[in-house]
Amino acid sequence: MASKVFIGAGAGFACDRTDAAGPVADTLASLPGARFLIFETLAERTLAQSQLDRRRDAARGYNPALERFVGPVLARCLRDGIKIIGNFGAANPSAAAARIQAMAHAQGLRAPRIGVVDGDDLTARLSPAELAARETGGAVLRNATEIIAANLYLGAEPIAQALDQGADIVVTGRVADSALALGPLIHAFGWKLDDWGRLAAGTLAGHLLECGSQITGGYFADPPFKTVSGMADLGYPIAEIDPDGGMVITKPAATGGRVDRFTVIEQLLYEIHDPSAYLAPDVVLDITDVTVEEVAPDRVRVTGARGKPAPETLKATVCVDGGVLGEAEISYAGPNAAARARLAAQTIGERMNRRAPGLVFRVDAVGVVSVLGDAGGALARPWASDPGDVRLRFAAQSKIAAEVELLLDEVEALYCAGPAGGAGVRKRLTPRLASASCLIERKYALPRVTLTGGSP
Amino acid sequence: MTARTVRLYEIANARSGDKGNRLNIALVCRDPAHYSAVARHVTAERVAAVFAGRKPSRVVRYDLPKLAAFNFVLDDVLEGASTPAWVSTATASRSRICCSTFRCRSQASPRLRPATAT
Repeated sequence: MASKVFIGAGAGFACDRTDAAGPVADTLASLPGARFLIFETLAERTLAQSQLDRRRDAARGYNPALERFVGPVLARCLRDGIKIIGNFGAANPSAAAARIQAMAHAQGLRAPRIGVVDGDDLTARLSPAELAARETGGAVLRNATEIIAANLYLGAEPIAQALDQGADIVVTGRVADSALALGPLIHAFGWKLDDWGRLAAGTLAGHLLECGSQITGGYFADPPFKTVSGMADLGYPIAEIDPDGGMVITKPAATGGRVDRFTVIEQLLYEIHDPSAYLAPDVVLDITDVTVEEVAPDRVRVTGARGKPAPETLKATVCVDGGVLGEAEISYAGPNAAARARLAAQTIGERMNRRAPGLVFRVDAVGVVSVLGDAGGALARPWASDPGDVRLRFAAQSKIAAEVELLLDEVEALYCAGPAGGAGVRKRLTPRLASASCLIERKYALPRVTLTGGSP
Repeated sequence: MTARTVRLYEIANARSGDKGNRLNIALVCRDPAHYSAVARHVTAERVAAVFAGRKPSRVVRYDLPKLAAFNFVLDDVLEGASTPAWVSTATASRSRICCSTFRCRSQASPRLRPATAT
């Protein structure tokens, strides 16, 4: 039984920095005890994109950056006994495992023992109508006939099982992000699956680590109010966890970023709704009694997680075709740019009203009215000042691709037929995925653990 | 009693997150001494008013006194589920900017030197 467990985060989302895991692995290698490196790379709709990749090529469907994430740390982790756990398997965990075996071979390393966790895919178990009946908080799936991806959030148990069976690396598809940390803790400490207090603490550790640098200074800086040094070299987090579930959050020495009360509390509450009931597959986490204490520079102690029995249903994310998203941009610069930009927007409005009156589109003036939207008609009113440099962005989403293309063509036609000095048109038409959340009975969760490669 | 008017972002940090069509904004007091003042001023109703343009169906504030923090949850403000946004940038910035526009009257705080005595 381990006396302390160290879990480092190598990535917090699919497109995260791929060189962040190196210093984390180096630090873990220097620490005594059970050590794990986790990669969370699967946002809500990332998996549907991977499913589309797999349809095109049966050997794909895992995170396209897999090699860039794992390649730099594979030798170090295998040599020093640091276990890697990642949901980078996405829609095809076994193909990801095969790719890692090939990487190990190419690097002249021993064949790692890889645990593949799947069984999260619901498409063969529930029809579109059955999924639609289980949708919560929306009606995206109403009348859907084809599901692109439907995946349950599996819990920590299959990850712990893979580690119990000697896995050096565990590759998963959809699991709860926090399970990437809770699984190793169940394995290393022998926590029971109804020990709600400890499962809650492990879920909290996972929640704090799952977004990588978001707890070490990423997504935080707002100078001069909130400053972060070394943004170009942020150290990714490491949690040091005791058998009772108490933990210290820290980061590798000689890296940028900061770990203090503020960075930890912001991540603690990130994407939380009711703080007394954060629903995970293995436990309901209550953070209302959590305390956060700075014990040394870049070391924060977190205690007080409480747990309640696991929920009866599991969340699933379901993706369907969402038509297309079209964007077109054009610039107006120099004296009186604002008036020319507004005239361009007005012209497009008139043209589209005639040619595709059913298409709803939005117009942004980047830097003037964009993030905060145009709910109050701010674009049409005279602006407080003329920035002299305006980038207009037109965007529409629709199932009728031809109407969206028409909008893009109308923007391009502004080159000659619009106001003076329009320049730099860029157009983009991309397929759009619509996602829904469903609550699924546990009988449809059929997690499967398969060990491949080297011997335990 | 001394008091001064400050912008909320001068005394508190905020972080937003999204899940589906639901937005949460965590608000963290830099100095726990400001907790009760922030609690008085930054109510669910005022947050709902800031986001009125996005027509939230419900705004709930959860209080976390041990952390000197609050969590606001806004329903149905993200134009559908978290699909590739036709809103050009992250909702994160939006909520942080909106949060920043509050003016908070913080009373008798040890750190805030009164600019004007009232």
